[in-house]
Order: sequence, then C-alpha cells, then structure tokens
Amino acid sequence: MTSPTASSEFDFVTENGPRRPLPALRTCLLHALWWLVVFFGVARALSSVLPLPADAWTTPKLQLFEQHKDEYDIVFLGSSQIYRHVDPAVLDPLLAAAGYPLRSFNFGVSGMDALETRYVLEQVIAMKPARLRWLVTDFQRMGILLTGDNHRTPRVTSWHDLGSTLLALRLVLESDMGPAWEWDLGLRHLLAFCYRLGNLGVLRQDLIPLVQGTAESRASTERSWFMGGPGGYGEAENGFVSLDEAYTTASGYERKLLRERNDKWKAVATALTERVRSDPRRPRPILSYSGEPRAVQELSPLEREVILDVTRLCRDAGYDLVFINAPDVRQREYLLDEAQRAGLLTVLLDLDDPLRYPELFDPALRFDDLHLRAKGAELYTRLLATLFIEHLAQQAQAEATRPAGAPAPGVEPGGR
Amino acid sequence: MIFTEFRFVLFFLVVFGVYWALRTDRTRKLWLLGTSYVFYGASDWRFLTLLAASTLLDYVVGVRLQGCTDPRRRKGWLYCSLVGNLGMLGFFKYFNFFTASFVSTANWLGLDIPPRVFDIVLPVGISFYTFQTLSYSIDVYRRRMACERSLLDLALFVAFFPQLVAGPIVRAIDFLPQLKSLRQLSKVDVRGCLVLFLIGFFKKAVISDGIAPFVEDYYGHYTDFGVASAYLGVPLYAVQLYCDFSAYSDMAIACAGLLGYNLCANFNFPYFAPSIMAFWTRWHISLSFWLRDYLFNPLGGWRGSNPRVWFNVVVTWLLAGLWHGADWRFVIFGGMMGPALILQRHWRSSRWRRRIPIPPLVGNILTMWWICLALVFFRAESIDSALGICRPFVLFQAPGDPPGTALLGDRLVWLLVGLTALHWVSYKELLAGWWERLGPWGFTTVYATASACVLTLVNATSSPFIYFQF
Repeated sequence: MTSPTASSEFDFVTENGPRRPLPALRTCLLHALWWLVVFFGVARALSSVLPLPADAWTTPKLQLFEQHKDEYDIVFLGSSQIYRHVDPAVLDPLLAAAGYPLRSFNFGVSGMDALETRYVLEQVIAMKPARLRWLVTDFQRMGILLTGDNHRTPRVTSWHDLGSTLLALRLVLESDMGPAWEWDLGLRHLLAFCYRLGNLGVLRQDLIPLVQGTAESRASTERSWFMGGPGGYGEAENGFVSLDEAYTTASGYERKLLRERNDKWKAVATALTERVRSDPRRPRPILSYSGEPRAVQELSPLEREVILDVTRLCRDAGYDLVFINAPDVRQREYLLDEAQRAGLLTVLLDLDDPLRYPELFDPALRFDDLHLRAKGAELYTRLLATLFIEHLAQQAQAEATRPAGAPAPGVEPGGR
Repeated sequence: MIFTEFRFVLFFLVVFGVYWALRTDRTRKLWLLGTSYVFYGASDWRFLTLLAASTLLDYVVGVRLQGCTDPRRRKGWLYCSLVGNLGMLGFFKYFNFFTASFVSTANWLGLDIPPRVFDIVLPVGISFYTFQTLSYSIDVYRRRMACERSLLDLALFVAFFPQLVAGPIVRAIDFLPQLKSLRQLSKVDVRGCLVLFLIGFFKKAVISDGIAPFVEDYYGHYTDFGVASAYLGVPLYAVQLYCDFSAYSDMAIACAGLLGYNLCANFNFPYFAPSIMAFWTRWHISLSFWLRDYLFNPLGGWRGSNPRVWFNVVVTWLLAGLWHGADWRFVIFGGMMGPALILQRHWRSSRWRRRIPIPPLVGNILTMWWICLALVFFRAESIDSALGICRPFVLFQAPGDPPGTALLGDRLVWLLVGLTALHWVSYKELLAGWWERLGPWGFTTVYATASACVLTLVNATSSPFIYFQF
C-alpha cells in the first residue's frame, strides 16, 4: 500500500527492475578524475575569456586606473587609512609647488589588508604604467581572518590566486590560533581559491545589468554608505572620497550608529591628547589589535618574507616602495611598526606620532579611532606632502651623489 | 548546511562513498542516521533532542497502537502523538504569535495586558518532520500500515537528511518499506539523479538567487515603483519561490535517489495549472495531499451540505496558511485559497460553465493572477505593505505619495518570457532524457562542462532556501 503522493516520475530506484551493470570501482574513479579534468579545463578556458569576479570596491578602481594608468606617477595603495586620508587634489599641487610636478592616484579601499594589497599591487605592476615611479602603501595586517561568508564574496575570491592562497595558508599554519581555528580558516582560504578557480558567479555580474536595462541600478548594488558615490573613486575620479562625503549617503539608522561611534572615539582622542600634554613621551606600543595591553611583538619569519617579497617585487619592476603609517588614537602596534623595528622598511612615512603631529589626534578632526574627517584628511595630506617632498629631496640628493655606473640604492633592506 | 553550498557537496560525497562501501543493511542505516543527525545538528545541535523526542514518542505510540484493540485506548494513544507533536510545533512556532494576538485582542477590548514576547528560536524543519511523524501515527491508528518495530528504521524515516528540513513530506507508508531491503547501487539511476541535482542547483543558485535582489528591491521600496513594476515584481517572486522550493525538492529527491531511496514528487509544473484546484495538486504536492488525507477528508471533505463543505475548505486552508508561518499574512494567504476553491467547485457544477466555456489558457492566467496576489501576503513584510503592493496589482493605481513611477527593470519582462519558455520546454518534455543517449564518457564530459558553466552564473553568496523558515 502506498500513499497517493508516491509518484513514479522521480523513481530513480527501480525495486523490481533490471539491474544495471555496475562499473568497476576503478572505472568510477577514472570517471571522477575525468570529471575533474574536464571541469577545471572548461573553467580554465572560461576564465581566459571571462573577467575576474568583480566586487563593488576594488574592481571599479582597478578599471579606472587601467583606463588612465599612464597618467600617474604615484599610486597610494592600501586600506581605508589611505582611501579616506590621501587626497590627490591637495597633494599634487603641493608637490608641484615644491618643484615636483607629479600626479597621484588613491587606490585605497576600505579593509584592504596586506595580502589583498599585495595582490592588487601585482595587478598594478602587471599593467606596466608608463609614468609610475612610487608605490605608497600601508601594510596594516596580513588579513588572513575570513569570518562569516566573507570567503564567498567576489572581493575575497578575486585576490585568492594560487600565490596569495598559498601564502595565506602558510600564514594560517604559522599563527598560534589553535588547530580548530587554523582548520576553519585554512578551509575558507581554500574555498575562496576554489571559487576563483571555478569562476564562481563571474557571468552573473554581467547578467544583472543586462536584464535591468536602463532602469536605475539598485538590485545589483552591494554598496553601502561608505562607498560614497558610484565606483567609490570620488567625483574627481582620483580615488579619494572623504568620510564626510560618504556620510551624506548613509541612512538615518547608519548615521545614528556613526554618531555613536564618533562620540566614543572622540573621547578616546581627547584622553590621548591630554595624556600627551601631561607626559611628553610617545605612548606606544600600548595596545594590541583588540585593545588589550600587550608586549612588543616581533615579526614572524613569514611576515618578514612577505614584506621583503613585496619590496623586491616593486624594485624589480622599477618602482620605489614607500610605506606609510597613519594616525591611530589607540596607538596600536601594526605590521609596519614591527617591520620598522626589524629594519625591513626602506622608507616609512610615520604620521602615527601624537608628539610630532598632535593636530592629527585633535578630537574635532577625528571620525573614529583610525579615520579622520574631511578637514583632518586635508591636514593629513598636507603633512604627508611635506614628508614626501623631504623623501624626494633625499632621493634626488642620493642620486646626485651616487658615482656614475654605481647601482641604484635599494639593496635588500634588513635581511635575516 | 545548504544543498548549494560546497561543504554540502563534500558532506554528501563522504556520506555517499561510505554508505555504498558498507556491506550490511544495518550499518548503512546506522551511518545514514548518524550523518542525518550531524546534518541537522550543523544548524543547531540543541534541536537534535526534539528530533529524537519526536521519534521516540511516535515509536512508542505506534507500538502501543498496534497492540491495543480497545478503541478508546487507541484514541488516547493517538492523542498522545497529536498533543506531543503538535505541542512541540505549537510552542516553538506559534507560542509568540498566539500570545501576541491574544494580547492585542485583549488590549483592543480594553483589558490592559502588557505585551510579552519570548525569545524562542524556531527549530529548522520542525513543520516538516512533525507532519511526517503525525502521518505515521495516524496511519497506524487507521490500520493502514503496521507499526514499525525497528527504532532505527523509524528514526531514519524521521531524520533522513535529504528531506529533513524542507520536505517533501514523506509518508511512512511509502518510505519505511524501502528500509526493509538492502539497497543496491545497480538499481539506482545515477545519471538521472545527477541531472536532477544539477537542475535543482541551477534553479536555486542561478534563477532564484539571481531574481532575489529584484524582488527584494520591489518589496522593499514598492512605493517608488509604478504599476508596470508591480506586474514584474509580484510575478518575479512567484518565480523565485517556485525555483527555490522546487529546487530543494529536486535536490532532496536526487540525493535520496543516490542513496537508493525514492521520495515522492513535490512539484508538477504548478504554474501551468488551469485552475486553483489543479494548482494545489501540482504545488507542494506532499503538503496538499497530507492536508487532504489527514485534515480535509476527516472533517467531511466535499461531502455534506454547502455550508459544511465551505467550512471544511476554509478551515483546511486557513490552517494550511498557518502551517507556513506564524503570522496573519500567512493566514490571509491560506484564507485566499479557500473561497477560490469553493467558487471553482460551484462553477464546475453550474450551468454557466457550459454557456461560457473558459479556455485553459485563460484559466491558467486567472489562476496565476490569483496565486501571485496571494503570494504578495506570503512575501511582504507586513499586511500594510502587502495591501500597498496589491493596489497596483488589482486597481492599477501606483502606490506612494506622490505615486511611484520607477521601473524595476525594463528588460525583466524578457527574463520572465525566457523563463516561461524554458519552463514550457521542460513541461512538454522536449529535452527529457537526452542524457540517456550519451555514452558513459560522453555523459561525464557533458556533466562536467555543464557544471563548470553553471558555476559562472551562480550567486557567490548563496542564501538559505525560503522554506527553511517554515
């Protein structure tokens, strides 16, 4: 007896039907292997004609840069501390006034950690921009942490090529997070790599605008308030969008949260400013990433290797790599601080110093612990211009004093 | 764990490989039961106790019912199962709903009762497995089947992971006999299962998830849009829901098939149904037939006076709506089906039917229009917004002040036409069984190529199936 819902349409198991000849296990394995070969062969063929997974943050900037790649002399690359602080519209005239008629592009993207920066840097170098001479970057963290569904986002997928994935896996194994975390993180990086290898969703990004037609693009958006306009590269198309400008696109609820955040960090900035006034010693390193006090850390061998690798990459391509340290009211230790102590950095423009640059820690200019408001960003860019001009002058002096035929400076710094 | 996730594919490969490598029936069933519990526990391990409790309850009730001849005691045991299973469902799914409804009614009557909402998490799939276990107890009570003496078999029937969280609602009478014989891979249509799984994957990950942002946009900002967009946004949700839910059923049936078990069909091209009645024999078939056999027919079905029949129909569909979710929107959704079915029933037996013959296409369009309208209540955030969305759909008046004029997407209509054409090709079986004509290596090659191509179209961040919330 059966129920009326029992159907023969999907009866994939024939109870009384003839047995099919079952292939040998070896044949099954060969089929599985053949499936993998064809699958990855087709995926590889597709990837040669299809674009990489596009995200709303990095891809538009990469596309804009590619269109104008031969117009820029300096590219600022890194996290939101580059994105929200370095304004080429302020910087370029200052450099020109000092006798350096250079043009810069802000390739900062919110949340771009060292591993992603390294990948994007490779993309920029591969474009062979004709005029490019300086690459300026903030290497904050290695960025191996992938939480939630992050590993599936086009942005994370896009930078998981073989090199970056292997590097991420090595960093995960090297970390002391415990086997469970390491396993989970390692799997996430591997999955992101597989998604990239399988061209996950690369055609979908083209289909949505196709069916949407000329209607206002709302469905395809994955932007949020902090994008600050289409593409996230600003009205001047130089890559810079201040936080004040981005704030105007935030919803009422987001604004409420941002105001609360702003109030909290203004208080911390005030406390720091008062502390610096009363005790004129540099108050660092005092806190870890999580805000807890911690001992001074040393770079791991792998982190050292990554920094040296990036330096070498730029040098081989003929570019100068300049590191930059942005002001943080928590005065936390980041990768560059450790690298600086280890003597790995050729040039570090350090603006994270409340003794030398107290104005950058002024609560009125702060947006939060890591970011400055529009006026603060302008001030930051001016101070950065001063440091950069000094660097250019030193560089010019070094080149002038260098004997003819001698190799250019840039011998691998630090070393083990 | 979602069927479209990479980790499910890995999970299933392990389950499949070990399952067929095991030699005895018992070890295989133990393996399936263990992995089913792992599958269910992956969402929230705490609810495994509910699953086990429901299984144990119905096991005991089944055995007691079998051995008991006293009608009153038998009824008592049946009530045990009904109270136990529906009690769990009622507490986890409907407690807050009924409390809130009671409080708001009391406040409306002038009684001052403070609102109280408890933080109750809805166990995934509770509506599905509760109905499964109930069908077992009722069938044993009705002596339509013998009780299951093997706790392992009954536990596997309840927890079998392919259909555990979103159906089809399998009847014990169909599934338990399959557990009595050693399954043989040589009797499985592996190709058919693989093709059905890929089709399901395509429907969910490409079509349903692809349409979702447009639907979300429309339902989230309906006041911005004009009348034309209502006729895009509302049908698009119908497409999204069908592709989502039927995809789950397809993949569940395919996974079960690969493990040697048949599950019942759950969908049969419902959007080509010429009437509401036909629609419900094609949409979520396992639920419709469950309601018919265990609720509507016991109430009296189509027998009796008109008011009695109307009562039976309306009550059945109100409860069907409530089964979907603890919200008045779902009650309205179900409530819209009852009158439509009654009207159709009377139309069929009226003399007007011969005088005004309705072509099947017109019947299909009218059915779709009514279903789309009902689905507005299914999808909208609140009854107010549902009514706002119904306005352009029924009265051709743009909502909003000033009336919205935005267009959801000027080429979306072609997407709808394309999907309808694809569905029609499938309905007419124009491409059915083509893979059977391929040789083994040809099939593997085509399947791998198709898999690689489908992946380029999927939404990277796969969303849970809509019916998971029920």
